[in-house]
This record gives sequence, C-alpha cells and structure tokens, in this order.
Amino acid sequence: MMNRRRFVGSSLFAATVGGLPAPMLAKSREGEFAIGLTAVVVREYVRSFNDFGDYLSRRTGRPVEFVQRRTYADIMDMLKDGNLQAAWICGYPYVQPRDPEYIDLLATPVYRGAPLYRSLVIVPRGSPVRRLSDLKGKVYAYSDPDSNSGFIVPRATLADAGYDPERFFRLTFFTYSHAETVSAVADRLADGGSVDSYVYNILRKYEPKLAASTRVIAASRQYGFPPIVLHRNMTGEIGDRFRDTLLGMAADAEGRTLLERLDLDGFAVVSPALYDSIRDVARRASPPYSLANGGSL
Amino acid sequence: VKRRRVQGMSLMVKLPLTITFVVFASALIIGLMVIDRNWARQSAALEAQTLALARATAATGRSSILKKDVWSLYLALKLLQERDPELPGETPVVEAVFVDTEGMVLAHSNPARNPVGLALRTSDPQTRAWIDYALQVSDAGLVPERLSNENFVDAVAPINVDGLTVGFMLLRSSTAGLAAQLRRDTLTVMTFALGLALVMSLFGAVISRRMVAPLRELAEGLDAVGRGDLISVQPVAARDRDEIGNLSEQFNRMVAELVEKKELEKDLANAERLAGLGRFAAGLAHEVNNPLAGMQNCLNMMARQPDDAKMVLKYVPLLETGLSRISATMQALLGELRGENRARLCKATCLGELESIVHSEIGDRPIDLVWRIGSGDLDGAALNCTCPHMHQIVMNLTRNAINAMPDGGTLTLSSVRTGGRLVLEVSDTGNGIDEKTQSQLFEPFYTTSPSGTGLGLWITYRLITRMGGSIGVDSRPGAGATFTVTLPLSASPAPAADREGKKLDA
Repeated sequence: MMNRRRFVGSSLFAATVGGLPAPMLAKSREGEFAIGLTAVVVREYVRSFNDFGDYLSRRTGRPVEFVQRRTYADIMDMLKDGNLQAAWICGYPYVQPRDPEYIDLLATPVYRGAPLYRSLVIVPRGSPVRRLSDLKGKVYAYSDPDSNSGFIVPRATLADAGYDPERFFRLTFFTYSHAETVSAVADRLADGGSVDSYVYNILRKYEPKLAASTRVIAASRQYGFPPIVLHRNMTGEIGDRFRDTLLGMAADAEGRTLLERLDLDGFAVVSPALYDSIRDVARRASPPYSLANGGSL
Repeated sequence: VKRRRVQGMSLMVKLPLTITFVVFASALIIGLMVIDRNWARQSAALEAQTLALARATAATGRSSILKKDVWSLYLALKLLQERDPELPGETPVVEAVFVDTEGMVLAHSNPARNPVGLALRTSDPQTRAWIDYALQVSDAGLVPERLSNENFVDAVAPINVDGLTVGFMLLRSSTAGLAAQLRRDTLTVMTFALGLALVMSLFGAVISRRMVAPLRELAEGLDAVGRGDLISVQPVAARDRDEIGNLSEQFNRMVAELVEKKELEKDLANAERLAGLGRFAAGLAHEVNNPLAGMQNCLNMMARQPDDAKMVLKYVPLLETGLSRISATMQALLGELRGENRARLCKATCLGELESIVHSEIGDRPIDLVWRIGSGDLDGAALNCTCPHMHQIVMNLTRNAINAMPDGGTLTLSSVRTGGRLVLEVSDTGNGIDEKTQSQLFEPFYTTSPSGTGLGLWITYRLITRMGGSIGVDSRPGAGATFTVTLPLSASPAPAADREGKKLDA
C-alpha cells in the first residue's frame, strides 16, 4: 500500500504540475527574470525555491520567479520563445543540438564536492530483482524522455548490453519527476525505475520511509550535474550578475543556508566538455543500437 | 401451567411488564424502521457516489489513456482512495482500474497484485463474469447485482474518444462501511430501546403501585365484608379522582351503610325481643287475670253471705274451674318450656289415624274436607316425635283452619314426601291472615280469637322446631291460608338417645 503522506505529496504535485503557484502562465513581467525548473525539483522544494528566488532578487536587483513545467520539452520551448531567461535543465537537453543555439551554461551545482551525479536503478524493497537484466519483461518507470539519468542512461546501458531498449520491458511509462518515479516503484506500479542520484538522496533525507520502500540495484558512472543555462539574450551584465550571485552563494551565510536546504555545496562554472559524456551516452541510447553482445549487464 | 402463572401474577408485576414490553417493542420497531430506511438511502447514495466517481474518473483519464500515461492514470486512481478528512471512516472505494478494450490493465489501485500491461487477473469466477460484462457496456452504469457481490458496489464507465471506446474505468466500492454503520445504529437503537424500557418499567412500577394498592385494599375489604367481618374493614383511601378513586369512595360508603344497617338490625332485634317479652307477659297476665276476676267475684259473693251453704255449693266449683284453668295454662306453659316428652320416634303412618278426628272436629260445619295424607307414601318413614305430638301439630293447624272458616269452605290436608323430608300442608279458604298478624303468629299468647289462649301455634312452632323442622304460612287477606310444615324423616327408627342428642345440639 502506498504511504498516505507520500501520496498526498504526489497529488499535491499533480495539482501543481504546470507551474509553481505564482506565475501560472509565466507571463513575463517587465524586467522579470524567470527561471524554469523541471523533474530535478522535488516538490518539497517549493518553499526553498521561493526563498531562493527572493535571495536572487535581492542580490541581483531583478525580480526573480521560478517557473515549473511538467516536461523538459515544455521548458525548452519556453526558453526558446524567450518566456524564460534561464532554466535548471538536465544535461541531455543541454547537449541536444539547437540551431541557432540560444542558451549558454550559466553555472553548474556542485554536489558532494563535484558537479557530478549518477543514474540509479531502483526496485521495490522486497523485489527479488538483483540486476537490470532481471527486469526483462517487467514494467519500468522513466522520469522524462529528455532526462539523462531518468531515461538516456538506462536505455544506453540496455543497448550496450545488447538489448533493444524498446522491447526489453513489457511496459514503460514516464512520471516526469524523479521523485514520482520513486513513488511508482515504491507502490510497485513499476517493477523498476531510473532516478537521479541527487533526487534519490534528497528523498532519503526528507522522505526516508518512501526511499526505504525502494532499493538501489545499479548505479551508473558519473555525469555532469544538471546545469543552469542562460538564454543568450541575457548574456552580458545581467547574466554576469546572476552568475556571480550563484557562485558567491557558498560564501555568505544566507546563501549557505539555502544551499544546505537544497543539499548542494555551491555553484561552479564548468566547461561544456563536462557534458560530452552525456552526448556520447545519448548516441548509444538511440537507434540504431549496437546489439552485438546479446546482453550481459 | 405457564399461562396460569401469568394469569396468577399480580397487577403490580403485569402492568410494568406490559408497559416495558410495549415500550421496548415500539422503540425497537420504530428504530429498525428508521435503520432500514437509512440503510436504503445510504445504499442508494453509495451506488450514486460510485457511479459518479467512475464517470468523473473516466473523464479525467481519457487523455491519459490516449497518451498511455500510466502514471497519471495511476495517480487518478490513488486519488479516489484518498480518505476525505471531513468524513469519518475509510473511503468506500476499494478497487479502481483502468483497462483497455481487451481488459488489459492500464492502471490499478493495487498495482502490486494487478500489474499494468497484463490482463486483469482474478481467480474469482464471479469477478471475471462482471469484468466480461463491463467490457461490453456502452454507457456508464452499475454492474447488475446478479454479477456483483453483496459486499460491493461495482460501477463501470466506458472511455470514449470521438465515438470510439478506448478503455473502461471500473470502480468497486465496499459496503463494509455501511454495514459497520448498520451495526452501530442497531446497537444504538437496541440500547435506546432497552434504556427506554427500563425507565418505563420503573414508571410502570410507580403507576401500578399507585393503581394496584387501592385495588388490593378494596379486595381485602370486600373479602372481610363477605365474611361478615365489618369491624376489620378499613376505609380505602381514594388517591385520585379516577375510576378507582370513585370505586374506593363507593366501597367506603357501602361499608358505612352496611355497618349502620347492622347496628340498626341489632337494635331492632332487641326491641323485637323486648316487645315479644312484653306481649308474653301481657298474655300471661290476661290468661291468669280472667279466671282470677271470676274467682274474685265468687269469693266476694261467698264473703257477702258466708253462712250460705248454697253459695259454697254454687261458687266452689266455679273457683275450682278458675283454678284448673290457671293451672292448665301454667302446666302447658311449663311443659313446653321444660321440653317434656321430647324426641321419641313415631311412625309417619300415624297421621292416617287423624282423618276421623278431623271429621268429628268439623262436625256439622259447612266445610268440605280434602284428605290427601298418602298412607302408602309414608310407609317405613319415622318422625322424631311422639304420635300425640304429631296429632297435636296437625290438630292445632286444623282447628285454626276450621275457625278461620266460620262461613264454611274447604279444608285441605296433604302430605308429600320429598327426599328425606315430609311436607305437610294445611289449607283453608277462609279470611286469610294479614301481614302484621303473620309476623306475630307464632308468639305465645298471641291470638285473634277471644276464646283462644294464644298458645296453640306457639306450641306447634316449638314442637316442629324441636324436631328439626320448619313451619311457614302463605296467606293473603280474603284468600285463605296455607300452613306448610316441613319435617325431616328418619327412614328407619334409630336409637332414641342418639337422636335426642343430635336434636338437642340443633
């Protein structure tokens, strides 16, 4: 049975899918700096992000709003149309080719000492599954088709092992949230699922019962942490001011408190090359698969 | 036996028991009726709620089904089972499923047991039957009861897109909440009914105490009155001005009147006795005085001429006559009072000897005699007296009858033997006896004829009563009189002593 409190959370999330309460339709006010959020965000963060927004507003002198949409695609469209000035996106959307390119890396969170994270495969706690290959013919939960850790990495892993990721599972579905993927696995709606190691650890801290209903059976290599990207028309004085604010957060007490609540060490400027490995895994996760070795995970 | 026991119970018990039973039964019946109606209403509400939820959930799931968005479908189902914090108890929804047109699970509220992407699993043939039914429906509705389980309400809503059915929403609600409510309600009603019955039984006890106490007093009073014991009858206190109070008052009045009457009777009897004694003394005085007056005259005459021997010759016999008359009167009186010659046995047939005596008594008077003393009828029967006494009884009555007919008439003597009794009747067609005379008829010295002593009927009466018999008279002035004597018979002569003892007792 699903834990009640947990479920209240999910429904709250479901109710707020499509945006944080304030700018429901993300109508940009004059001079407003709108930052998009996606699956990386755990619902408990709503208050933290409000405070984060206030912090950034004060430091940059621009009103800041965080805007949430269900999918990465939605966020990317809004970013492209100029309705968002920045967005916290996954590495995979970042590496997808755009013509013309309209975003640049603004800053990347530093998580446990490095701007890196992993993709985890989780199963229900009591499940007999030991390896990803045991999930053949089962139900699998992905977070978002544009998520590196929640979609690209497991598919690449399957393809690398010689399986057709399209046929390996009996049924797959998207939860559009790493946290919801954990719920789906905990409820045994899915026999397994892929989640971001950062979100999973956050849940361990804030919702230990939910996290404890699942078990990690596999962890990927490290990939570049989902970055905050800036629309190119913000490049310059405003972009610099935001970058400096983010980079300086770890240096002041208020910033540190916010970072602690988000379970991050701080922000850093990284080279775009950090995400090359994602570009590589994404290639492997898409057809044509190299189904050479018949499958050993 | 049980019935008799109930009938024999005191009203003090019966009344409270009846009130208790009636109140309990009424409260129970009304309560159960309310529960029944409530149950029907709640059941209908549950059905409507289940159907409405199925419809609404089907509508919200439409786009998710098209997008195969399993997670959204699942969230919608979980939302259904969310407990409403405003309402007590668990949500009635126990199972909710989205299936495609083939019956494959798209989302199930219990995903661990009903995996998505597989046919809806059930080992229960009845559930399979209603799933088969559900996959055929074209409009949202409840699954017929014959396919459903009485513990559940099942609803199915097809999900149509552009006129095409793409899936079904199946919803199952449990009636367990209703059943629990029913049990609680029933318990409440029973408790209430019992409590009410208890209170009412106390009330009944008080009421019946109030009602039955005077009734019991009345019953005891009536019992005492029945025994003639008016002294111990206590007045019954009338508490209320109702029927029982009225009855109590009537009873008290009746007892008061009875007591008064009894006092009056006692006074009357005393007065009567004193009057009788007075009449007796007057009669005796008169009876003695008459000859005394004659004798006084004789003595006066003789005293006037003391030397006249003729006087002696003339008046001494008169003196003797006077004295013998006084003596005879005294003898008869004393003899009767002493109760001489009691209780010997005589054969009833001795009555037959009287016919000729009666004839001679009538002599040449214009009186017809009707003699109906059946000699055969009296065979073997004996009377508790001597024959002369028996003759005396009959002759006394006969003489009175003859005297009552100075202008002639019919004298009838008859005897009938009934059971252990001999009934003698002496009838005349004379002037009859008025009521005042009848009441004094058997007193000594009471007479209507100037020549009578007034002792005949008195002696007759005493003889008869001594024999254990009775005498009565039936007469109206101008219509003659009939004296009826009833005497007990002895079938065979018994030892005289024994008989005497018994009679003395009587």
